[in-house]
Amino acid sequence: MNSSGLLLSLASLLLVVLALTPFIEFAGDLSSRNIVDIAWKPLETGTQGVKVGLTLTYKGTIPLTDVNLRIETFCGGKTCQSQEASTKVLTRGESLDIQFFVPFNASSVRISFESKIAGLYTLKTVTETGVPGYGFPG
Amino acid sequence: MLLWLAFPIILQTIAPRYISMPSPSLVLFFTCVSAVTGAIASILKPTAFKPLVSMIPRILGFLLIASTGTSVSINFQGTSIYLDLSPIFYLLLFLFVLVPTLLEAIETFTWWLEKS
Repeated sequence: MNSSGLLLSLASLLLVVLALTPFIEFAGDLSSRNIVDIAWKPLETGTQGVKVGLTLTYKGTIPLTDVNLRIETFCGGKTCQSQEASTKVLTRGESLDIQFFVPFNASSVRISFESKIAGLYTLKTVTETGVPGYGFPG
Repeated sequence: MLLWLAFPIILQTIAPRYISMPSPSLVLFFTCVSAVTGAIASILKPTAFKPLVSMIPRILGFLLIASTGTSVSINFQGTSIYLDLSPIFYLLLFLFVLVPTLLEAIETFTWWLEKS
């Protein structure tokens, strides 16, 4: 291998390492601690249901970009309420707030989170939770 | 060449256990084919066939690895997680398939011009 070939190989390797670093760091964060805090509280109770405020706080070291949080409420298998919140960048300690309405006849709530790890790797998570009894869980 | 040989092994090592990766026997097979064709390509005089000889195993190897999955999907306690790792595969395709092939094609073209 001549010197230009060696230089090219080293540059290639460096690029691969640079591209992999955010993913490896994110995976490390994910395995070592809880990188997302979700806190919610009922804001007001009406005759039809409860208005809920949800705050998602990011605690990871790698910035997330193109962040989108979507909350859907299901009533009898159909979407009855849907709310979205988004932000361009979410860095450590920053929060994303969303308010949504949960009708009393809601059967489940789906929380969908989509973002890009360091603007490179798309990450999607979907959690669906039942609404026990009358109103929102808790 | 060494990097190219190491790259499937590096991928296997760094990949989380949930990643759908090619089986070790496929990677071993591809690595052997790549090593043999790479060795043949390195002793060949620059001809129109030289880029082809070294390009085919690279492309096949990349497709083999990419076709087995460039994303991770996990279902954990009612939460489904999807992670798209395709950017790193595109980077590997560019660095270890397209760039070397292009360089070899340029080398062949230069040799051809000098000869004629």
